Amino acid sequence: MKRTALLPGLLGLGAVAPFVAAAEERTRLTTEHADLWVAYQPDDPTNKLALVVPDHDHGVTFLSNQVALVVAEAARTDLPGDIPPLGQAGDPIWILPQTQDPALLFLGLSAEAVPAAVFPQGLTLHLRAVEGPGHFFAWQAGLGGLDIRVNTRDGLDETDQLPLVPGSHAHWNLGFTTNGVYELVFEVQGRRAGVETNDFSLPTPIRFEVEPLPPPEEKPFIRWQREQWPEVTDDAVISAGADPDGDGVVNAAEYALALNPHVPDRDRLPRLRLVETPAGRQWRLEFEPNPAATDILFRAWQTGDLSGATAWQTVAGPRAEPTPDGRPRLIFEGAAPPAGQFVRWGVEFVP
Amino acid sequence: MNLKTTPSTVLWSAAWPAAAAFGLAGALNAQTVLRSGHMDLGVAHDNGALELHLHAHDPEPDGTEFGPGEAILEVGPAAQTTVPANPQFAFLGAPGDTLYLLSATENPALPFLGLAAEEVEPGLFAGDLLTLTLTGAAGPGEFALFTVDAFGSPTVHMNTRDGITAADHTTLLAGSHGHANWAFSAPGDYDLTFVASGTLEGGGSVSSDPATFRFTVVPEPGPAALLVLGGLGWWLARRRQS
Repeated sequence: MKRTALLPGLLGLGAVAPFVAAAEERTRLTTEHADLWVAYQPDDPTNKLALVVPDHDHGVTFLSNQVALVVAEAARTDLPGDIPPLGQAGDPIWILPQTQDPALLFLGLSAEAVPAAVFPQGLTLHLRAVEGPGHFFAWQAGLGGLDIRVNTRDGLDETDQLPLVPGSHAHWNLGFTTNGVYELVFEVQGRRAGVETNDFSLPTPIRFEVEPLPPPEEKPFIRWQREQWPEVTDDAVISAGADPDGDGVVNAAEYALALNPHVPDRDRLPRLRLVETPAGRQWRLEFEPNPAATDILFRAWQTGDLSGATAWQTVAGPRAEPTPDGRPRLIFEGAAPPAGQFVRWGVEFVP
Repeated sequence: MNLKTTPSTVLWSAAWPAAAAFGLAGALNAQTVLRSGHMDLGVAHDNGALELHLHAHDPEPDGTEFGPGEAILEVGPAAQTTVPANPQFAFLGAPGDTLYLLSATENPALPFLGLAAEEVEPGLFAGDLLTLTLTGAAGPGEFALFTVDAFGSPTVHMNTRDGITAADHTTLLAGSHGHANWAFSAPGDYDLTFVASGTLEGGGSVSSDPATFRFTVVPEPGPAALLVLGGLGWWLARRRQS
């Protein structure tokens, strides 16, 4: 989720409260009984099928972007022999097994909520895309050996699909060839009785976190917080919207402009000035950003009237124009009518 | 699930396989025959006691429960297969022997029979573990319950081929369910008796009463049976014409 802090420009009036929203977090399912669950939405004109993730142990259902399915390190084993296409003897593989292991996530595929009479030919779950550090497989094992239905080692095509029986559920072995974060994009298909075309779900990305995960890369703002306040965790001091030096410049802006968050230094904020250009008189806001602040964007808006009669309009840019000695410099610019113009600017965190 | 609740359903006899396979059996009792759909052999914990039942999930009505003797699990002709050559499966018989299998993988033509302790609240039993033990088996052949790991290697939980001992058990996790393979070596009626037990978190153990469930294994109609049935059809047709 984007976090934005706004600051008024010198020609603007009135403080604008910074908006700092919580970062997006996913619920990690580790040992629960969960399903990739097909929801049937008969009243939805376009998306009659959808894929969600219920956690049966806690009675909670998640949208796909709210959850991460964890494949714990205990899922790692070595192939007992050459088992193409899974790999060769001794190769590591992480498996969420078809039969429950209390130490692992027990992930099923379910079409229990789909009426069999509506989809008499059944449903299929297609793997449409995969992004991750290794290969992914789905199979069942029985008297006849392994029945491998999804195999990304040879690419993806229409054969990479799993059957779903309306009204029922199934368990598959889900295998990953190395640890890391995988995003598998699934799509459910089915044809209703009496209809000549298939219904499709939206392509639904499901995140699997195969442990051990590499340590997360520290975001630049987090690093700045840690460097500025090594032992402090109090949000009233270190958060993006906090202003511990009381100078009216929140930390997000102090960070974005490489100001000092420990001493009042509002006088170092960029100032608007008027410039004459071939296009006429312009206002200009130029400043040198913090080169380490790669996780922010600068925004600017302008209006000719603060009464509310005229909406704030987004100013294009900023354009990058390094200083003569090569330091980064950003410039916002806009027409400066004789009646005056109000400008405000802000910074926005990017994921 | 295909629920048939008419008071008539079960009559299997080696002498009348074709008639039975085509539903011409006579009335015996009011047991429900479960022929397809998802269901579990479930363990419940009520008022300090464990009990066993069959718990049907689909189609409607989900949650229908059948106590011992109230339903028959029909292992239909689609279950017929053969023992594979893989020596790991020798516990089922000789390679090529006929086998009737309710698989851990759903076949819509057969009961998809799981093992469930979803009705047992986690935290009551030590390790959340319960044991389901086979204590009796009566039938025309052998019975085995086994699972297969991700690489195709079986784990045998119950097998009557070597007698019935305390080793014929499997473990269930409170609050959860799973699927296993139910194998029968010959057609006919099998009465399997199970006991569920567990050690309470605070000490002491609890066991269910023995509960017997009937499985009826229906073979694929053989040439002789088809001949009999064809003859029956021909006779009926002739009778209508006359």
